[in-house]
Amino acid sequence: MTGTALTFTRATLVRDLAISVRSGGGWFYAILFFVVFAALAGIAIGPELPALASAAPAINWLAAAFAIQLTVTDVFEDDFRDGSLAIIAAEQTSLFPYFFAKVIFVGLIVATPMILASPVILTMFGISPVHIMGAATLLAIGIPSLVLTAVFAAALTAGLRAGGLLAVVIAAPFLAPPLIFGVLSIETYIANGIFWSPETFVLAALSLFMAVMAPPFSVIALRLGLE
Amino acid sequence: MFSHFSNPAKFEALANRVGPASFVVFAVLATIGVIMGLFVAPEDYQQGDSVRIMFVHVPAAWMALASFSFIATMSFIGFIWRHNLADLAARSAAAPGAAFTALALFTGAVWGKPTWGAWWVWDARLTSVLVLFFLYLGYMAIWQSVQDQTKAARFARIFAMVGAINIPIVKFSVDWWNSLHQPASVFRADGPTIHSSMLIPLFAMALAYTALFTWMVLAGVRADLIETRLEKRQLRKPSRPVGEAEQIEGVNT
Repeated sequence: MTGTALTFTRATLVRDLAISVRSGGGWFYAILFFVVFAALAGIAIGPELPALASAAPAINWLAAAFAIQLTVTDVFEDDFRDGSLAIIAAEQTSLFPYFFAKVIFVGLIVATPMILASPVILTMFGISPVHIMGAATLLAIGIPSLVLTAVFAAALTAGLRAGGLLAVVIAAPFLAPPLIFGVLSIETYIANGIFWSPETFVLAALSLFMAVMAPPFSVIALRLGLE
Repeated sequence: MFSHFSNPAKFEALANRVGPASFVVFAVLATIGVIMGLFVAPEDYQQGDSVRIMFVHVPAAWMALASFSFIATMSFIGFIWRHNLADLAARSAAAPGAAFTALALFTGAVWGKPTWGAWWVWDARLTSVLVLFFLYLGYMAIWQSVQDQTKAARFARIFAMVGAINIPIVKFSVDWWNSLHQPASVFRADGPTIHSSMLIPLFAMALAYTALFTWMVLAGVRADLIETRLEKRQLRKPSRPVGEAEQIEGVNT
């Protein structure tokens, strides 16, 4: 049973990765948006390094949150439209393997490049090299909550008209806690050099919380969208 | 009790009595509250007359939270027992709830300007109420975006329940965020304990708001039920003019 679920997850993941890499599938949109957003924020703030450095954690998290939201909104769209999700839902006893395949897919295609790119962005914003790797690791700790929120919003709006924008509106209230603690944990780390601050623990807790909350509700929402 | 009133006929019988009654309660209490709040209650020794905004602002903020709790409870009932009326009640509560939230935010800004010297501060309370307002907007947007109302109800339930689970988290996170940034809160932590001359109009207004909310929700559900009934009647009508010979008693009504 678990064997088939694992096989199915892997098959879905491989299929999605292949689609996104081939024929202009757009695996690079998220990271492109992330970098462009940060660059425009830097231009808007101006060249003074102290101002840039104080804004850096917030810009880093905002860019990640929006890049993830905007790219993940249509993660179920193709499967919905061509009917493959309906077939999967009819065939499989549970949609959880499918859901986890999508989450891993988003993690690989969207979140990981951002974590890798954030040291560059932070350096450009005048964060000292000592703190760069720590700040990027903090982003990695909090990014699951952003991804899971986005996938949940996408699942809820998959069958709806104007789903894309609606998903962003729906996700907005749930983004407040990870943004608050993501920025706070980086600020505490830069100011005091404490990596495992209480803020970091709360950030990790938010990711774990979303890992519990998002799957069941997303699967229910996906089944609803199919009816 | 919920099962009893999930029957539309029984619900309407109840709503026809409680609805107008709660409107009367609202009118009486709001009149008392406004008159006492504006003319009887003393002005604050620091804030002067601007303290009177409290009688509009504080009950609105209470109702903003209460309305979303109502929506979440009704969504939960709708999710578990599949009562159609619970979904209708949740939907009818969304617009008044959003209006209360907007009112709380607006009067808060108007009150904040003379008191703190700023229209808006990123204080914990203000921020969490703003997030609550976004939740209302998202909830209403879901109802809007699905044409089939029974289907829309199912999506809306999920959103309302997940939102309700998240409210405490948002609340605590902004509390902590704020207290780290502003150790000395702008809110008077131990402000003047409220004298009964202010407390009575405040509670009158709070009850008036609750009665108004009750009236609006009941009216909204009734309007929905009537609309469904009209649609069904429309469907039963023949699609072409019926000749006299084929007219059957009862079909054309």
